[in-house]
Amino acid sequence: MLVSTLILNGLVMGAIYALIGVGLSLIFGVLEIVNFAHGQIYTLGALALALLVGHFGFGFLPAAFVSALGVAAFGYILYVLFLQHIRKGEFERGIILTLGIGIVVQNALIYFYGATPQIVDTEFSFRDINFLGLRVEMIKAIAVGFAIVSITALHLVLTRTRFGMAIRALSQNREAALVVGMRPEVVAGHAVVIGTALAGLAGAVLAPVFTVHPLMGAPILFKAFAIVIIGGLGHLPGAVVASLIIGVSESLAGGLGSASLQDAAVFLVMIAMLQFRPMGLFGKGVRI
Amino acid sequence: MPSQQPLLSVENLSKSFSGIRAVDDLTFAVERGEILGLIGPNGSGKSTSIDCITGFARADQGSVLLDGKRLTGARAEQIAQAGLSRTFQNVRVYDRLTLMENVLIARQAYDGVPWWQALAGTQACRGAERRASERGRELIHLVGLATMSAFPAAFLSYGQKKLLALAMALMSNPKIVILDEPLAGVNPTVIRRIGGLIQSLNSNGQTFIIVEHNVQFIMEHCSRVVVMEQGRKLAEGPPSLIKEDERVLHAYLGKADAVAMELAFHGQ
Amino acid sequence: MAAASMNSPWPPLRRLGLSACAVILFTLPLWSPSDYITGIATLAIFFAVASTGLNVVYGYAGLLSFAQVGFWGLGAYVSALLVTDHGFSPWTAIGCAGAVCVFTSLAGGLAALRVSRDAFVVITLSFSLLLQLLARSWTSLTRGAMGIPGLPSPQVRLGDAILLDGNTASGFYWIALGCGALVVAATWWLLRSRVGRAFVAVNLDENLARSQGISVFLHQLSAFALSALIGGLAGALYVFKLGIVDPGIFDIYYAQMMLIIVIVGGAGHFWFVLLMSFVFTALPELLRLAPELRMILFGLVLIITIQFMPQGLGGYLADRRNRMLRRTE
Repeated sequence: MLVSTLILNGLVMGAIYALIGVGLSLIFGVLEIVNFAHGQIYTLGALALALLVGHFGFGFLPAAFVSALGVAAFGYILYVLFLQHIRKGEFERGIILTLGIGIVVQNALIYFYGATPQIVDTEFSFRDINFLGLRVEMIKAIAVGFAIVSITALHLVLTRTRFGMAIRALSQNREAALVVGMRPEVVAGHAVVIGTALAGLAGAVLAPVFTVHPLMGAPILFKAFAIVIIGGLGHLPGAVVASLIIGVSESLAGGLGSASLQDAAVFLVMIAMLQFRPMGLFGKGVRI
Repeated sequence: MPSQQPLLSVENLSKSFSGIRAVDDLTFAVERGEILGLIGPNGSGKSTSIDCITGFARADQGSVLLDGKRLTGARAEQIAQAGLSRTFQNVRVYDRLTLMENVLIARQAYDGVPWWQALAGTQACRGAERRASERGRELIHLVGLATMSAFPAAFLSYGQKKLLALAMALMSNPKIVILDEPLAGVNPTVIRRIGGLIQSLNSNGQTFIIVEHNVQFIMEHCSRVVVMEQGRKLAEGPPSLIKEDERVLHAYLGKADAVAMELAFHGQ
Repeated sequence: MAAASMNSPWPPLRRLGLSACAVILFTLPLWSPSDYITGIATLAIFFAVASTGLNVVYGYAGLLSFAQVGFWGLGAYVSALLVTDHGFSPWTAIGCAGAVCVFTSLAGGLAALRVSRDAFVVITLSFSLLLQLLARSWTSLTRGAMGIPGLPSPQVRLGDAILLDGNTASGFYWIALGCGALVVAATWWLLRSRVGRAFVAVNLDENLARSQGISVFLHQLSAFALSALIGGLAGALYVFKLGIVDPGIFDIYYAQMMLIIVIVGGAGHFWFVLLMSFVFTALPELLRLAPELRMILFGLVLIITIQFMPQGLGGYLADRRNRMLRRTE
């Protein structure tokens, strides 16, 4: 396969990883919680889309929108019920809690939905578009479009609005957010909603690309962790760059090497990163 | 021949945080058996200096010598093992462990028992543990917490924790004990007790550095005082001279501490 | 945050309970109604040992590690490969597996502990996932997804006479019990020593420990290595119960079980974690739930525990005892 095709495919996957990675990084930045349920949240988005398109005859675009909204609502419920009770510094508690939520969600999905993989057909499936002379599946192009639009929107919100300033201030320190005049709980709640919505959206737009099943979140979750580590914990632009790096390295490893190498690519990138920049691409120094 | 060099000498110590010089070219020395007071307005760099000296922050420049041994750049645990013991401004004890366990931990890195002996439970290790328990009981008794020694440290009041922290700092028979604001948040009874303890330990030869806001306490107990302002050493000398120093008074004027300082110097 | 108390709750009661448990455990195959029950008890012993390893690194030293299932699987593969490909006896192979795990943990810990606690969690998780990937993909060594079948059973002999035969359910049970008791007792001894005390100190307050001359890094590294040794030994013996090792040994299920056992028992509470190993192995058998429902139940237990009783059962009881003491004080 042509290297340029591989790179393009890698960038496509990277853009979608970025949706998941940015959400995870945002939640970590504001709440200091490594969300181990993020993979299941992504799965929820995919299953919701499959249900809406398959059973209720939604078109792909409205279905993706509704799925993301539904998942965001679920995220908000999680925040109110559980995440807001985790205080800063209770880092392990947050992990264990979200891990428990992940276990429950995943097994509930298997129980009610069945573990058989499904294929989601949308009106955009099995069509290709031409991009600079290279063929790209249309469904992937749409997914990338979603990723670019939502990440750009998030970037604008974070940099241009008072609410975005509060979120960024909160990931630096608590008092700063109070100075901007926003209650930390409200800001944190919004961060969770945005983060889960992004993961749900990623699941929804990827549903037609891959098969859909309740266990699909686990491998993606790990990639998202790797992205957050490589990009620097809580650093959003870092997460985007890391996503693209992971996407391209996977694609190249798979195309030029083997399927196993493709699976191993994310580990190799992470090991190399920890060797040379232990705090991530944009992290600040090693602890003393 | 008694050594002429001071026990601890700090030379040209500097430390900046994002462009602000927290400690600026600080030089001072501590003689054997003295109680050195380190005072200065809030944000004058006292705590940062202590952190740099004890290895909890890395100084940009300068050197620290303990008994002729260079400590510059060493890690906190190495500096502790060299004989520089410290307490913390916000009292730190192991809340979940008993007082006895607290003091035992404070000593175990110093008695030279290698870890495999600890695992094998050799004679040497058991001997060291026994001596540590004896010393621990002694110190807990000394700071007046003997009745509590089997309870978790979480049971103690804030002031009692300060006393426990003092006992822990003494467990390793350190060359110097650095007390970082030992009186902050402590009631007058405990302040008197801490003062008495410091005096009696000092009369047995224990060297102290005390960082405090309570100027009256410093003037009462210290043999020499170093005054800091904006990261620099402003004045140094016996309390009687510091009291009269114009620069010191000036440094405190206009600050929140000014009234307290005035009272401490002249009000009694 | 996990923490530990080394003062034991109700010493006389505990001693009585311990002896009762020892008697029950030792005689179990004699009154067990079926080999199936004995097999479940055997599994519980393995979970008890592996969870104790996790308890050392998380409960005592305060480092949340997802590498425990990795060492469990690594130990399993090393011992299986040494026995089948190199003709080692099971016992030598198990010993070597433990050594390999310790070595790996030291190498990995040197890198992982340099970074932050958050990164440590993710790095240990990736370690386990990477091993699983290797087990699946490095087919020339591991036979891939097919696994390595036909592992022999370990035996305990005295001269020519076979004292315990791992082929029978009860024989394997006693072998597991003997080995498990040995490892657990050694761990208890270590945690009671000043080394264990330093683990707790480093966990409760890194800076205070450093100011007392205790190296945080060295103690975290040794706790990690100890957990690796325990996990590796447990996994290495466990494969001989299965008779086959395949990439399923790295299944997330084992990791979830160990974590649930440690969290619900109480991180840093040695005996409660052991107790929970038996509870959580026996419970699903008693309830006879579908696997998904069982995991939903376990997940809920985990959520409820961490929400309302973050220190687990052991921590909750210790707190209550402390409150009582305080009142009588």
